[in-house]
Amino acid sequence: MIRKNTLKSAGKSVVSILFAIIWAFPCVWMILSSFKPTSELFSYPLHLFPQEWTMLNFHKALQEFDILQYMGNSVFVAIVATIFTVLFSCMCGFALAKYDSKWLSFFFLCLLSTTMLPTEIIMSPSFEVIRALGMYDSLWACIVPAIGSMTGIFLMRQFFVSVPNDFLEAARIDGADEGVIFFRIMFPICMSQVAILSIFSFRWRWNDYIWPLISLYTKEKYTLQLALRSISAMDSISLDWGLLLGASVLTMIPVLVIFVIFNKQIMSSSMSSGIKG
Amino acid sequence: MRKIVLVCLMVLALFVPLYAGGSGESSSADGTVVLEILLSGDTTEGSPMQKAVERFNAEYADKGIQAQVNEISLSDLPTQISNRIRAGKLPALVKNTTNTFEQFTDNFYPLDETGLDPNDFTMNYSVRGGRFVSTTLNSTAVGLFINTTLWDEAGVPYPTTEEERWTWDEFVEALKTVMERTGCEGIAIEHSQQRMQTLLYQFGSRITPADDPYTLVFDSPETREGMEYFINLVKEGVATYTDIVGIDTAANTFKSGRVAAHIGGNWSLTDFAENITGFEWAPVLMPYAKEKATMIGGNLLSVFDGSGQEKEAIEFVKWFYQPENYKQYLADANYLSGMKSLDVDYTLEELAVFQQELAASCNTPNEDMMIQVNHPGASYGNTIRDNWTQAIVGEITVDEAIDRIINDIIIAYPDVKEAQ
Repeated sequence: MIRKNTLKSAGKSVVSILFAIIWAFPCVWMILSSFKPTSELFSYPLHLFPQEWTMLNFHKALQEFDILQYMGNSVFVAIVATIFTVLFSCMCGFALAKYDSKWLSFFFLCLLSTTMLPTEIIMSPSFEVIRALGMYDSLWACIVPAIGSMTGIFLMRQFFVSVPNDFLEAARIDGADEGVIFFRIMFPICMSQVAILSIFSFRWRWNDYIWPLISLYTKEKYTLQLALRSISAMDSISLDWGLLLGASVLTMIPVLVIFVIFNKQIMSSSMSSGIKG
Repeated sequence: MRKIVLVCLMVLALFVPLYAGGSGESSSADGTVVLEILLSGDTTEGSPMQKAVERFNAEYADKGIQAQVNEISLSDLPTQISNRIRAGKLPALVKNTTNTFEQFTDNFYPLDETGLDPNDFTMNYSVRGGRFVSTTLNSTAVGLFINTTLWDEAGVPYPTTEEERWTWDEFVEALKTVMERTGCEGIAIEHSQQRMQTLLYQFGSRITPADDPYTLVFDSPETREGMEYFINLVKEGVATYTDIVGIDTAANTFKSGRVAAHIGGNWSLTDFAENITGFEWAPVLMPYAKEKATMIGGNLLSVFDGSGQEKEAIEFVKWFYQPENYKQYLADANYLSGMKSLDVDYTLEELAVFQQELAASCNTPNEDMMIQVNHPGASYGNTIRDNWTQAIVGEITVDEAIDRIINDIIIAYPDVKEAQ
C-alpha cells in the first residue's frame, strides 16, 4: 500500500515537473537570449546559454524605449481600473444578493447573459461611447470599459448570498442606513473575495492589449504592452530581435516584483477562485 | 477601512490631473503646429525619418512648424487609422505600405501644391482616381543572397557580371553541387507575394497584357511552368519547405548559415551586415528562365485630408523631397531611391546589385501594376502567394490555384475579364 502511494506520488511529481519544464523553457530561453548579441540569436547550432554575454540589448531597450513612462501608464490603468472594478463589483453583487425586487433576478440574468458576448462584438459600440465621452486617446478610455466586470459581480453576488441576512436586519434595527451597512459591515467581511478580484483585475488590465490599441494613439500614453508591440514594428523580417528581447525582459520585472511580494495571496487566489481572465 | 479609501482617493487625486487629458495636442501654446508622422519600422531601419524630422525641426524652429514621429506596429496601422478617421483625429502624414495605402486613398489630401511631379516617383501609386495622393518614400527590390563561405568551400563559382547571370536550371544545378559538397540546405525563399511573384515573372508569367489592363492572361503555360518549377524544388528538398510556406522567416534561416541561398530583398542588407558574423555572404544577380525580373516594392508618403494641418504637411513634403534632404534620408537607412534618376552615396556597396537588378528587369511588373492603378481603393491582396502556397503544400493543384487567383482578381476588379 505504502509502495503504491509512493509510486503514485512519484508519478504525479514527474508529470508536474514535466509540465513545469514545458512552461518554463520558453521563458528561460527568452531571458537567456536577451543576454545574447543579435548576431548569435540565429546562429546554428543554437545554444541555450549565450556564447558571449552582453547587456547591449537592455542598454538599447532603455535608450530607445521609454520604459518608465509606459510603466507609469500601465500602473495607472491597472490600479485605477482595479479599484473601480472591485468597488462596483462589490456594490452590484451586494445589491443583487440582498435586495428583493421584482426585476432584480431578471436583471441579474441579463447581466449574466452578457458574458456570452465576445469582447470583439462590443468593441465598436464601446469605441463610439468612448469617443462620444471625449475619452479617446486618454488612459480613462482603457479603464472605463473594463470597470463593469460580470465575473467580479458574479463572484461577489455568490459570496453575499452566503452571508446571513441577520447581519443586515440587526444593523437596520440599530438605525444603520444602506451605505453604512455596505461599507461598515458587508465590505469588510468580503476581503478575501476583494483580494482575489483585485489580483485578477490587476493582471487583466496589466496584460490588456486590445483596449489600449483601440483607445490610444499618442505614444506618450501607450501602456507597456502596446509599446512593446510597437517594437515589432514591420514584421518578423525587419524585426530587431535583440531590442525586443531586452524590452520584453525589462517589462517582466514589475510583475515579478508584485508576484514576489504577494506570492501567497496570488497562489491562494488562483486555487480558490478558478477564475480565468 | 477609512485608511484604504483615503489612500485610494489620494492615488486618484495624484493621477487624475496627470492622465485625465483627452486627445494629444497638435499645436503648442505658442501656436507652433506640430505635425504627426504616423509610421512603422523606423527604429529598426536606423531611424531615418526620426533623423529627417530632427533636421526639419532645426530648420523650421522659428517658422511655426515642427514635426514628430509616432511609430506603431505595421499590423496595427490600419486599425489605428480607421479609428482616428471615425474620431476625426487624423495624423498629418502617414508612411504606408502598398496594402494599407489602398484602404485609405479617399482620405488623402492632394499633393499638387508640393510642386512635385507624380511621374518622378518609382512606384505607380502616386495617382489614384486622377488625384496625386502619394509619393514613393523608398523603393525595394527583390534579390538573391548567397552564403559565399559555402559556395567557396564547395568550389562552385557564382556570377559577378551580367554576362555570367545564371538561368534557373544552371543555378539549381550549381546549388545541388554546393548542397552535396557541404551538406547544407538549398534555398530559403521568402513567403511573400512580392518575392514569389518575382519568380513567376522570371518564367514569363504576367497578369495582364502590356497594353490592356482589363484582360487577364494569368492562366498561361508560363504561370503553370513557374509554379510547378518551385513546387518541384520544394519536393526535391532544394527549396526549404518551412520558409516558402511561411512557417519560418527565410531571412532568419539564411542568418543561421544553414542554407546556401536566399531570395529576399534589399531591406535585409543592413540587418545581414550587422548581424551575420559566422560566415561570408553577398547578394548576386538573380537567375532567370525567360525574363530577367525583379518586382519593385516600397513605402509611400501621404498627407491626410481632415487633419487640419494639410498646408503645413505639404510644406514638410516639399522640404523632404529637396534633393539634399531626401538623399540624406535614403543614405541613413541604405534605402533605394523612390525618385527616378537620383544618385545617392550609400555606405553599403552591396546595394549596387539591387540597382543592377532594377535596371535589367523587364517591364512586366510595372505593366501589371496598371490594373491596380485603374482601380483605386481595391486590391487583390496576397492571393497569388496564398494560393500558390496551398499548391506547394498539396492542398490544391496548380490549376486550382490559378483559377482561385483569377477569381480573386475578378472579385477585386469586377470590370476585368479573363482572356478567351
